Amino acid sequence: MTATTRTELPATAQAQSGAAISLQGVSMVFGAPDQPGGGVRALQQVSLEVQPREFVSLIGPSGCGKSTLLRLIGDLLSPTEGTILVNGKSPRQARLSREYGIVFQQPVLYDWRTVIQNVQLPLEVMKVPRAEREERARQLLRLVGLAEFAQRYPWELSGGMQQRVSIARALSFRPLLLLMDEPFGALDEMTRERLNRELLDIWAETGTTVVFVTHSIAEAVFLSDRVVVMSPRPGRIETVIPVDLPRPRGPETRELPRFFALIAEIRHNLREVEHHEG
Amino acid sequence: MAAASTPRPRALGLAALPDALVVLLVALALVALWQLAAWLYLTATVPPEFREGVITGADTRVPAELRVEQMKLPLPSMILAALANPDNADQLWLAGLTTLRSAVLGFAVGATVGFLLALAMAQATVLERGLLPYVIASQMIPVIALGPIVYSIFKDEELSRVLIAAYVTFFPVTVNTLKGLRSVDPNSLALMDSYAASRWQVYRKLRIPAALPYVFQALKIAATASVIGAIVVELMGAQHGIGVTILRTQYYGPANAYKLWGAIVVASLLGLLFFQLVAVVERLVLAWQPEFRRGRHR
Amino acid sequence: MSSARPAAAAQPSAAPRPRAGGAALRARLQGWGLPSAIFVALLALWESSAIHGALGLKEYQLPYPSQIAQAIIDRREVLLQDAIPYTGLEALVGLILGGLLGFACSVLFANVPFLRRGALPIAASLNSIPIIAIAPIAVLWLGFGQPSKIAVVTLMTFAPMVVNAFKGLYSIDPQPLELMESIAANPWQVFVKLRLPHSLPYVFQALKVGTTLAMIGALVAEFFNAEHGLGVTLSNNIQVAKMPMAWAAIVVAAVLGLLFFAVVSLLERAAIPWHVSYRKR
Repeated sequence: MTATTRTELPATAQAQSGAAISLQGVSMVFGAPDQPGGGVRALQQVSLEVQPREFVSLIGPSGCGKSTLLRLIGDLLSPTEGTILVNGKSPRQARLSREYGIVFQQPVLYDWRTVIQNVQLPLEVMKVPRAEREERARQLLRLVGLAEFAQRYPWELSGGMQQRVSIARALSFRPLLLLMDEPFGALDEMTRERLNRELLDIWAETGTTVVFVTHSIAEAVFLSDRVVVMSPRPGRIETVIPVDLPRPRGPETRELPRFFALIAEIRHNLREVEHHEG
Repeated sequence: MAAASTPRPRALGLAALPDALVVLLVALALVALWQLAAWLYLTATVPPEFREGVITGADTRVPAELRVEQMKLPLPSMILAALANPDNADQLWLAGLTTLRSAVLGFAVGATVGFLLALAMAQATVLERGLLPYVIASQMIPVIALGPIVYSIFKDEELSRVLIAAYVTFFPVTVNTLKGLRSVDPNSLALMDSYAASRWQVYRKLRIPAALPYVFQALKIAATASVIGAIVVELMGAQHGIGVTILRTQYYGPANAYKLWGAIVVASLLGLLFFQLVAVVERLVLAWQPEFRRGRHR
Repeated sequence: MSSARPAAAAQPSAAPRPRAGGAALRARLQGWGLPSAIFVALLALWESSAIHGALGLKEYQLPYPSQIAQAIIDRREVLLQDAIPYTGLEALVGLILGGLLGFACSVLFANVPFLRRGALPIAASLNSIPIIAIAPIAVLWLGFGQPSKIAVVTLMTFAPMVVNAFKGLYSIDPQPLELMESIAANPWQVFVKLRLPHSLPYVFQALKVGTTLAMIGALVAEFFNAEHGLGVTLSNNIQVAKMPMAWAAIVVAAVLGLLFFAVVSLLERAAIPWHVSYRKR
């Protein structure tokens, strides 16, 4: 199946009802099982549903498979077992239809492109005409507050700014789904909190579904509708905790008693998970 | 690109072979192709009655032009025969050894001087600022052109070979050692300071080990350059050495075709072997210092 | 690849664009002061016979700088005639051909796993073989003129380019590639938009190494069989013990080598202004 080349961008609203992401009994084994010690079982029988426009975080200790899970959804890996549906299609079809954008922990901007050229990269690949993609890129740079830096090179920007460019790029083609792999992990606490707030604003405006991998409990609670706690070896979902904090969320949310209670609950769960390791 | 997670079937065919074996296979395939091409060339250009004579060089009736043609694309099998022939040992293997000996000696001298000079330059900024541009510039200059000059001055081929080999080694070693000594990350230095380490201790335990990967980079380049330098000196009227053999067999014409090719093979082997030797030493030396290994330039 | 560089971006706002002001120029000139002084001092020593005395050399063995300069001025047409259409051209064309061939091969090897494992190491080993030894054969095939020298230079510059181009095109971190995959770019797009720009610094590194190799190749190949060129001038004049002229040939070769390198460096600057080495620290 060849990638669809769209000359016009899709609307943000989900066309179909039903789950945005559906994982059923997904397992992932790296390496050949017939080797001594068997393959590495990164994920075991993971099942999860994510609703359209939902913001879901994946959290867990190292080795619990959260990044693997993200990549499975994005068709950057193929599962050993189980089914994955993204917007009702296979991950591969979703990828070829450019239905998701990805943001890594490192900004992964191309040094030889200016900021605005970096943001346009997906649109170039999709063969969107020049005028349209430049306009679109400018819009997104305004959205992330970097409009004046359009002609700069990535290395002229701070880490936090580079990451915002990376987010703008991921949204440039209006994907239905945003996959984020510890995007703020390399940044300091202050910047991180500020970007959390900005991300929520962007999410509210674009209405994308977001799957967000993080190490930070506070971040997961602040951002999400639900927090998925995972445990390692083999990776599986330990529990899913709904976050019933009111939206829109802001700095005041971080001071609510409920906020701390949720953090404590998740921390408790994670400690249990470590206990299981023995 | 996406890694398949399904268990890989027991690997079949070429993928299963170790890398070294694949290289060997490709090399053998190339030689086989060469043999085939040479044989086809022979049958195409030389009438049957002369073929034997052209190869062995014994038949005087064979027209010279045919012999010259043969030199262009000789049979690898005959080259091997020439290499194995004890009559040729002097001109080929002994000559090769002569060249190599000088190259290695010069290399050792040049590397030592370069290393020490870099240490000195790291201490004295004056020295560095004054000399570094020359050291760098010399890397862009065909230093090898000095080979014939050196020989004409000293008229001693052994000395000239060693001098040139030392000269071409000295420059990259100096530049790279300096780069390496400087490449230590500030945190490691701060750590050393916190131990109140003396300057020499910092060098011994931190800077020099950090510089070694860079030094070996230079040594590998220098290994080849030393051999080339030694050969170039020989082109200007020396009496012994593989460069001389190449010149002579070329001059004496088609009867020596296989010796010429044999000499070329020997010369190539010299460079290859010296390079591999340095590479092996590098692996041994650097293996002891994993924390300073720069994985990037592998 | 651009990862968050906290050290370089200490300011929360973007760093100012690099600009060569008066201060920078002055610093550059100061940098040249000491080496130039040393150069002049060396020439003075040489001219004053100090070096001759130290090494016990006669005038016929080591000419004086003034004699060399005289030879250059007197025979400048011949030297230029050697340098540009012969040695220089051989080096240049050989470098271009070797570079193109090396680049093409690296692409080929990358796409055929068997060749990558088997042929790439062999091509890399050409780096350690004195290709010069092939010069006589090149003459057999291509005659006395420039083509045979160009062939030698091509072989010599081919190896560093294969190795470097391969590294630049195919040793890329997984994430930039994953990014391309996530937007379903086809292999051609990945090549043009990622691999090619990524490889440019490596390609230029190989070209810079190549300029030296090209000069050496052209010169030494001319030692073997040639009628014109700096190498010919050099070896001929040595054989008749006309040392000033031999040195003159070397000086011109050195200048040519430096110019060659400078041109490639300028090209590099124009082609990859974004590279780390040009950024203001």
